[in-house]
Amino acid sequence: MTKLDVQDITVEVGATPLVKQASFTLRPGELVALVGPNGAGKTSLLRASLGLELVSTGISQVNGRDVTALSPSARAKAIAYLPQQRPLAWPSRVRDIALLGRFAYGASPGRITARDQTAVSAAMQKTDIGHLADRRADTLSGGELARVHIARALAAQAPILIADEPTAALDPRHQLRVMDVIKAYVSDGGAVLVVLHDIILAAHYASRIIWMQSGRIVADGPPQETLTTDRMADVFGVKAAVSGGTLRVLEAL
Amino acid sequence: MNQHWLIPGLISAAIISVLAACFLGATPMAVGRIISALVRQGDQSDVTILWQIRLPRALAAFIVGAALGTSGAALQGLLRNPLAEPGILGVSASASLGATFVLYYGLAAVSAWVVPSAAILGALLATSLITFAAIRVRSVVTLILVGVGLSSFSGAMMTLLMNLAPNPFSLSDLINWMLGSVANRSFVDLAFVAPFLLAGFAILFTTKRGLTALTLGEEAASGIGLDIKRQRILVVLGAGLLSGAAVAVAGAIGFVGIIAPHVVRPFVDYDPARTLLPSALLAGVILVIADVAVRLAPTSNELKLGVVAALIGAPAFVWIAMQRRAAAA
Repeated sequence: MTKLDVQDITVEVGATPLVKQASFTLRPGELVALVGPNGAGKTSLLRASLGLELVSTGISQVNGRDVTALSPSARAKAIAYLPQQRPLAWPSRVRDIALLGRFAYGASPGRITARDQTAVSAAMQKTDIGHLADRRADTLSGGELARVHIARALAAQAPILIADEPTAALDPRHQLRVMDVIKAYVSDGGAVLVVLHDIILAAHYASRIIWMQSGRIVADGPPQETLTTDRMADVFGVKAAVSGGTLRVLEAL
Repeated sequence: MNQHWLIPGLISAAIISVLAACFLGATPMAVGRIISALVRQGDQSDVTILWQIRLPRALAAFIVGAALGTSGAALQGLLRNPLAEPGILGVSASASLGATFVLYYGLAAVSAWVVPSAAILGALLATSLITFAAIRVRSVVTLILVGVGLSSFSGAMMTLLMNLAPNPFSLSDLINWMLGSVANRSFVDLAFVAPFLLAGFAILFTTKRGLTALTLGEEAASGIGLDIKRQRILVVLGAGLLSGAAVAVAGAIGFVGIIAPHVVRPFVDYDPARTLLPSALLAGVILVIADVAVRLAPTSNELKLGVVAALIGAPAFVWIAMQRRAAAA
């Protein structure tokens, strides 16, 4: 069972702290949503958890091993990462982009093992992009492209998935489809940490919500416990009505 | 053209173009005479023309093209920018500066390795600077402007060096370095850059998979397990070795490193890894053909190879740049 254990992480750029003493644990079968206003330090915390960001204090461990001590490919095999910015430099074919998820296993077009092929096909099927396999990335819609990137992440078949705003700029239907794919991955035993801006989406899908504000984790728990009118006011500065797991944002405070 | 035929087709084109470059010239030679000269039979002057003049010149053009094509393709992959190229980024100009410095200050007399080493050092400094700039500025256009600045600066420094040089110099030398030529190159000239070229090709071919990974951007590329730092260092090193060696042989020849990868890319599904080898072959063929055109052109003074390359290449560069703008809008 692969567990991600983040302890006491502080990230500073110069003298400005972006993340302050953040700790959390991510276990298999958990879908954890990381929420907070813009600039709360969510992306920095994700990157630090992956070992991609230099930390001033703290440690991120995968199964008790420091992520920064892992080789890039060993880390990639343990944690699949879907960054917020997903610029594609070239109009590659969909199947080639998905295949990049197998990079850590040595796969490249023309050198694909049966295992790589199975993983890529499964990922493309789960994200429902099988029919797009031969299409070029520059011919896809935003929703299709988002699913291609998720297929790439799933193709790694890593036990942990860290996704930074996978639903950004998608219409409601595509947001739900993306979250359904992530939910299915968790049902299969995966662990997911996902940054979401849509609290309703987070409350609907997440088993736990981590609330971040000004670099600190201010709450961590199931939606029904942590999603409150007061918390929406504290963290997001909005007046909201919360009742029985549903949320209505009324006005900015 | 089918993907599978791309590399065999280009290899055939390379052989045909080099052989054609041996046939054509001031002294026309029939196929029979060329073939007997190739096996060092027949007329002695034929053997001399072929082995001392035409073949080394054609091979020099091919090798310089291959080096520039490969480093162009690799730099484009690393910087994720189809406009990146040793000439555009000021790498060739910096290499020329390195070479002219040692030539005009008498250091070149120390050893035949000095000129190639100085050119490569200049190229390495420039590729490092550009890569460093690329980390800081995210904009494709800004990076090209940095290259233009570096290019102008190196050109100005070179002119200044020549003005201040203790040795007498001629304007034609300056033109040779700035515009590029493969006239009068010998196998000895090629031998002195061969180790650098081989090292450069070898290094860049080990970075192939990393270039493909960078299609996703640096963040996701690190995510899928690419060691970005190592990748950057290796591409800078390989591209610097190749462009520096190319400049040591032929001076600064621009644009071929941008055209070849651009033409090849659609045939290899835009995969930067699979762009390297065909770009090398195509750029080599382009320069061999351009050099034949230079030799056959009915001009009183022989045109510079770099001039012909720029005459074809500069409009192509503008066209590629305009296409990008349309795509971005």
